[in-house]
Amino acid sequence: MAPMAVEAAEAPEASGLCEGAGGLSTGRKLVPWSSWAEWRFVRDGLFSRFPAAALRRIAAWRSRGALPIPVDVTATFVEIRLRDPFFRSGFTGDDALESEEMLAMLYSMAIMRLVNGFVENPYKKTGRSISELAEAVGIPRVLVDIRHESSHRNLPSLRLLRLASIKAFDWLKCIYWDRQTNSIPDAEVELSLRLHEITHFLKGNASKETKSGSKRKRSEKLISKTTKYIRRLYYACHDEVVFVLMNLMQLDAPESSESSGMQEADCLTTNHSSDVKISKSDMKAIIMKLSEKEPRLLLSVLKSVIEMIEAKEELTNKDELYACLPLEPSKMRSLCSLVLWLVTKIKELKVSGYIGPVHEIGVLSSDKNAVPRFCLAKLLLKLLNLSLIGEKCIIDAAHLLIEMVNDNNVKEKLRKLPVLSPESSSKVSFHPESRTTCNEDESVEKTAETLEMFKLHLKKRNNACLAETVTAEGSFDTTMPEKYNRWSVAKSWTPCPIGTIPCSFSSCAVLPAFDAVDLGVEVSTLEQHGKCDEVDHSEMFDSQPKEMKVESILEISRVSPEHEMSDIPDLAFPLKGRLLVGGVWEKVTEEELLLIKSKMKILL
Amino acid sequence: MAGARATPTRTPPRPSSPAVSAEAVVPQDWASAVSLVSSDPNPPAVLVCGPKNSGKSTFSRVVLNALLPRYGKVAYLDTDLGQPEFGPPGCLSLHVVDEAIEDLLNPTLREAERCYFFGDISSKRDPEAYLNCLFHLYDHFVGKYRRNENEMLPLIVNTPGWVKGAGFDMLVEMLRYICPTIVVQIRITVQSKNLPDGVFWLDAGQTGPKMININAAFHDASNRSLLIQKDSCGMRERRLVEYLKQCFPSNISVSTNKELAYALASLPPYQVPFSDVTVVHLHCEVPTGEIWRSLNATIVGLAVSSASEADRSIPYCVGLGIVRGVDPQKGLLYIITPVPLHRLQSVDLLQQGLIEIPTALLQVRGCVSPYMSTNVLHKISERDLYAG
Repeated sequence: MAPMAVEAAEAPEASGLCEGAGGLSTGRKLVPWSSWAEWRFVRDGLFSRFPAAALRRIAAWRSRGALPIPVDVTATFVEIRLRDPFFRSGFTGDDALESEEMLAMLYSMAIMRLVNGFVENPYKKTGRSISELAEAVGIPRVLVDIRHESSHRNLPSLRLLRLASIKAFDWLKCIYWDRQTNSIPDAEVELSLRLHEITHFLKGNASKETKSGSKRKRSEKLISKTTKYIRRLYYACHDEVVFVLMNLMQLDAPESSESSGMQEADCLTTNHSSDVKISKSDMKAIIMKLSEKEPRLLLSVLKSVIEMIEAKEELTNKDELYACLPLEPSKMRSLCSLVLWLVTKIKELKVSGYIGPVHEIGVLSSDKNAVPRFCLAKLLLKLLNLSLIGEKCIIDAAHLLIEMVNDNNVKEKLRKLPVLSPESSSKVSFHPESRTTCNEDESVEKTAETLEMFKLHLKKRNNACLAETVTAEGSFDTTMPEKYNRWSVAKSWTPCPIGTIPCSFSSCAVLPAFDAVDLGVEVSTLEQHGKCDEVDHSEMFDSQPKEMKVESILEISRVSPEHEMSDIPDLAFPLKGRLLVGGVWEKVTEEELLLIKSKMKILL
Repeated sequence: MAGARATPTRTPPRPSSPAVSAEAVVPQDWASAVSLVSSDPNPPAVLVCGPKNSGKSTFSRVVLNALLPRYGKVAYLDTDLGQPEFGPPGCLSLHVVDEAIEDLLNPTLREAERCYFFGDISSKRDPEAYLNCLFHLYDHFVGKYRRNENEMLPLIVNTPGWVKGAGFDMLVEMLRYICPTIVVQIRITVQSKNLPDGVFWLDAGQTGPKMININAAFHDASNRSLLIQKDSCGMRERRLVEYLKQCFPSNISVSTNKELAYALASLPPYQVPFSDVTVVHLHCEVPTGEIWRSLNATIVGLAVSSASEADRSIPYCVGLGIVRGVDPQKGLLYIITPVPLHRLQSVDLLQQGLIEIPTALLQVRGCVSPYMSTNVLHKISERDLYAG
């Protein structure tokens, strides 16, 4: 035992200062969870009656390292309780531990690890006694005594240990779980606070147009400081920031006088906008201010707006069954005009040089303004796939985007699209499950046209940048042997932090959607077994074979037309004549492509 | 000739510790030990052992340089997981070196002849697996470089500094398996920290190899051995950073951590479908539903499961990589590694271990990994600690 302890590496726990609550702390620490939402999921699980899923997640965290001691020990206590008949009231299973001796061992070991985990480092640092330190930290005395008893004397009684475990559990909840909960930054609150500050300054600026320069300078300084902070927020909690921005943008749509539909999504922002109300024009000014420093923010907002329209469309399609058509049109219109506004701004930024479309971002280009063309192309594609394509704003926006993606030419092509006819509002939305058979032909036609357009556009681009394709990866791919290669270089990559993947539609990063897949498995299991008892499904989760997940994933990538479509632009460079089929780059001939085109029905 | 090589006056780029003076001067007893090793009529198998920070690696480098002129190539068995000589941390590897080591004070990265990923910086978690990897490496050496009488290579085995308790037991096993012809033991002034004197791994009556005892290289004024105090955690991080810099061609400048972090974030990674690789965790049990979550933004060993080779062989590792992203929708893993694509094609096994990714690589302005969180509560604050 002793020599092991000598060699034992210290747990990777930094002993920095505790960061105060409220706002983002400046210090960062490696944690095993990818978001506070994940942390909350575990917290809620551990303190619920069904901790199985939370315990599994903690097992995954353990395998990553850097697990905070309180999380580790809390999980241990929960796990031991699950096996202790005393706490298992009602459950009888084969994993219950009947041996009192064994249970006592488990409890005392957990308590020992708790006490040591909290005071061992400071003990070495300060040389003060364990019990002294424990008192300073606030560890209940009984736990310190049990640590001493069980390591040097007799094993304490199970009765005492159970009592102590309850105490330890409560103490951990208070000292770690509750305190951490309170110090999680709330990006949404923070952001709307800052946004209000900026509006305030902006308003001040406008009114003080004629006033002395020093005051204006001061408020300009404050604005840039706040903008900087918002940028930090944007990097840290990207999704929340875009979400808040979106909500504020919509809030004050000019048509809002007729719409009382504000109540649903907007409660959040109205809650916090205590004093100043941010008008839509203010919001636009702020977004422009932000995008001067962070031009790609516009792409993210645009993507979210388009997604919001998609979601609304889907909702409308469903709602049609109930034949109630509420205030949606005005809202939709304001969203569409927002799309146009955003695209116009992107265009303006491009003209003024803030955004420079590039083909592929270089490995070391720290150029914040570079926007890969394929991002714009994918956004355009998304836009074209909206069933609202008939809307004037959307068409205009699409035209502008096309101009940016590839200066002219395709514009002509798009004009010829039958899609632009106004009656298309009832067209199919993009989601396969919401499709209707009646207008399938129409949509096939539409998609075929789009495909044609892209092919044309690609050919042109391909010729134009033939010289550029002699990059390292490009040259490799052309020499690739015909045999199956499991590894390849990722295409259309945009820089994004380690642990995230690039978003296909904007140049921001997204966290891998682990939950989406989990959910899929869960749902299918539930359907299979026809049960929805919570205990059962947490148990079933355990026995889920991995293949099932993989299968469903493969299915997604094979069936989803989005993938086929969105990957076509990638063919432009090195993988010419190849098509991504089920995750593999298959060689396809021109005839095959044409065949696919004519059989678009299969895909949709 | 050993002496000539052993007194370089070059200043190392990063002095590993203030205790080490800028130049490495080889002490007298070291020089005679080296000449004893290099004058052996047969290609020797030298095992260097001794407590932590006593200078085993430095001595091994000196010996390697001394053996090179005569044999042209020298095999080097690297068994120190925490501070490997030629590989990244967490790896056990066999190298065949044909080029002298210029920097005697710092390890350098070189391609391994054969490598196994153990996945931790100490063997304590799994002594059995550790020894198994080691024996496989030795067998590989014997099979390749000891068969033919004319092409026998000398072997240097550098051992970890864990010489007490379970560490001692492992060292004994190692010595019994390898049967070196020369054992060099480095001893320090604090006798209790030293290995037992003599052929401690053999039963009474067995004849042992040549034993050479030398003292640790550095001494203070009263001639007590001065151990090279190393910031081993920082060294490991730098080692991984050096390793990952190989992802970029030498014409791209990634000298600072910040530049490297940004370059890693923007480098188009390799992608591989979930279905084409098996994932194993070498030291933990990961629930099946949590595999991808567990893997994201961690360091993995890229291994080849050895279906084609002899049955009892274990998967060998072609290098380390960072799982820089996971896309569950597309079923793809994105991995950054300096291993070239053509070598990757045979990789079908990802070995997850407990080698931590250097945090400096996860946070660069505008590109901070989601795993680097703000507002993390520490278990104990200084305020609590000194209160009352």
